[in-house]
Amino acid sequence: MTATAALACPKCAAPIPEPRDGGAACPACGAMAEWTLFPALWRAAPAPLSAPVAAVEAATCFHHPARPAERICDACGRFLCGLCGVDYHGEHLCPACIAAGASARELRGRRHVRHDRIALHLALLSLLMFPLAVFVLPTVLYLAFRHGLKPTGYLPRRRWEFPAAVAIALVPGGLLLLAFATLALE
Amino acid sequence: MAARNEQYTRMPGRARRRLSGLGDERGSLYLADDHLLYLVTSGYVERPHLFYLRDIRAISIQRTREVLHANAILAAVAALGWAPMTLLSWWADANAFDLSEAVYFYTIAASGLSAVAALAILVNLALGPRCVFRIHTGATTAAITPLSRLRTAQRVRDLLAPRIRDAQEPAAGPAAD
Repeated sequence: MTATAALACPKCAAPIPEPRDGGAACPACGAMAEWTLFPALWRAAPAPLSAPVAAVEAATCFHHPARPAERICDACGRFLCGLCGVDYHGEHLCPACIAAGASARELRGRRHVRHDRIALHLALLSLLMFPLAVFVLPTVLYLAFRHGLKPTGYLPRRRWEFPAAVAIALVPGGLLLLAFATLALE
Repeated sequence: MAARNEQYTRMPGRARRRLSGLGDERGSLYLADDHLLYLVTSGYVERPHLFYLRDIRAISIQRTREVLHANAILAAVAALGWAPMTLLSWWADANAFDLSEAVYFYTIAASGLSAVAALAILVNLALGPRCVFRIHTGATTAAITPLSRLRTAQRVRDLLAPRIRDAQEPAAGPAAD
């Protein structure tokens, strides 16, 4: 394997010319780090292309290390050369992201809001601040109906928060409703 | 957002809170068949970061001196609480001076503070030195905040290294096609 390694010191970002497994000091700042290297570091570069060759230390294409980077993939953020980038529905994407069907919008959509936890915390808050139950109970019910059956995020989780939130919010909320109903009847 | 049908194994390491703008962030690292999922939770929002095992070029662990600095500060707190009271008690005993009740109360409070600081030092020493665990890929270098203790970071690295090598085995050999 030939060392075409492109590693930078984690502290000062200076390039490490000959990375090796084990403890090594950065030649620039002297910071020690334990390195564990993997074969991907030495993956052979693709055959050279006829297009311009990147200047030393210039940002290079992720897929073609010999070519200068011109754009950044809007989905994965990798540097791309003129050959790699594809304009796709107003976004500049790399072939890998198009193949994976990942648009920038979809990637942003991977942010997951924990509505179940919001509902549970609101329900607990209504136990502490009783009058808030007037607002909390409808909010918790809305969140439970709106988001209760949606996926639980990236990780598979047990769906206990929404039922617990509704059950907790029903206690002060139900008591308040009962009080209102009693007052109304009188 | 579509949930992925992956079997995730949670990696060791406690999620470390750190201030980020106005809120806090917690991170957890999970291992799946072909990738690592680093889940950063900020308030009620989760942001996933995926590192495919075949893309990981290196793992670096850089030891930091946070424990040393923290212990120095804790030792100073312990000494500030303990030393004046010890000296005062010694002086009072030597001169047959009756310390008032307020001073005794202060002595107890200061001793408590010193004890808490000493306990924190012991816990810090038992957990070992801190470090920064980084995953290097072709596109990014990411610091994994939950792996902030050297011992845990080394354990996770030893756990991950064979999996990453297995995932990259075909890439290292000559091209088949």
